[in-house]
Amino acid sequence: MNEQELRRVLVRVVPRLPSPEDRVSAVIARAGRRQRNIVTVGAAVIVGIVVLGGVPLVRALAGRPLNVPPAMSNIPSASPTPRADGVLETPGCVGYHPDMATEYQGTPVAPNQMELSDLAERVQPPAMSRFPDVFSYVELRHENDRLRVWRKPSAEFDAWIVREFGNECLEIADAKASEKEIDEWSRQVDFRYWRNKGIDIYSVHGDAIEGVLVIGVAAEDLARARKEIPKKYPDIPIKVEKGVPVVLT
Amino acid sequence: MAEQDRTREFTDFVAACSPALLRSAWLLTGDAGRAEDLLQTALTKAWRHWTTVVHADSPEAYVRRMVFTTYVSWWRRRWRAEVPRASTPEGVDHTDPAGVVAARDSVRRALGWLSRQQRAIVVLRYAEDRSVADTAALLGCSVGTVKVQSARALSTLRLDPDLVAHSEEGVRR
Repeated sequence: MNEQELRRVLVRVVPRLPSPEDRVSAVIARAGRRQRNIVTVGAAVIVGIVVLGGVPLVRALAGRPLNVPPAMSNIPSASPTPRADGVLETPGCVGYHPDMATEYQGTPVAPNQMELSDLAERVQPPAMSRFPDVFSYVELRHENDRLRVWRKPSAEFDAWIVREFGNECLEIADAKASEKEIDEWSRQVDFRYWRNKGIDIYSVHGDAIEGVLVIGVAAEDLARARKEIPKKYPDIPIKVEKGVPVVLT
Repeated sequence: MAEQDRTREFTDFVAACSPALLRSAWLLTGDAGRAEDLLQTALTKAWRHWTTVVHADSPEAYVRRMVFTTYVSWWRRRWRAEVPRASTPEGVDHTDPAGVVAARDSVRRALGWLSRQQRAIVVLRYAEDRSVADTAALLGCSVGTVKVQSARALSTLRLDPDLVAHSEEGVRR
């Protein structure tokens, strides 16, 4: 199989895909939800700073060294350092300055995403197996060319991250649910049961930061689903929203 | 820019660019639901930064990059299940020529052997027919990385006898 043959088969197999008429409104609704989440998290961080006597803020205002090369800061401390926004940083972040973003057709591109993906592959499996009750997921953040580890607050987990990956630059942030919890919640949702009840569930996914299971249903079932699904699973925090039809081809 | 103009501009953009972006998203994710989710995630980012996007040299390239970088970094939104509809919506191809469904399954399975980075490189290099330099720029990595990962990905794909058979079959037609 040469490159041309591969190209031909890749182009040939893509099916005709459904294009929901309301894609734009779905996108704008998503953007609105994201904005509300940011406002909520921002408010929580401000409250946290006030409650903690502004210690992280003072640290941030004092500033961390800007031109210290990573090699000079490679002795991991016992715990990560809190930033003004409440996110923790490993010692490897001191003096970490990513290369200038490259450009693609006039738009900036985070320079180290391949390396960050490799690092994520190293962090995620042991985090998942050693700390199933607190680990949520790893996120690659293009805005600052870093990895962020989401977990339920745990000093033990943080100490492990610093011990194992202290020389790398990792951010650590609070989530409300672990990956394991989300898995357990999602397994309880029986699609066939709901279809028999006349409610079409299109998708189920977890929002670890908010600590909820998000269930996407058909628009026509939305009102009834919002009443009935949470009632059926009183122990699971659930958010029901309008889903996108999925067609298996 | 007035909100109404912004929405209209964005709506036109989505209508014009979605089909091509969705095809790439399908090759990256392997199913229609995830492809739609990936596209909408990228479009959501685009909508939030629309003023920047619309003034870029190529808004389409900007959003395409968002689709690929979102895919490469996509640990967050993990789909738990996909459910076929009892009645399929319009737009689904019921007239697949014989053999395409089987080839599709082979492609889906073979691409599943690749890492996310390799899969993104394969889709850009081969499905979208982009140069090594273009692919490297779009993914934010070096030309050398694209060459090495392309070669590794091709070696892996060549190990799949079904995919090899289907690709040769395509040539004979």
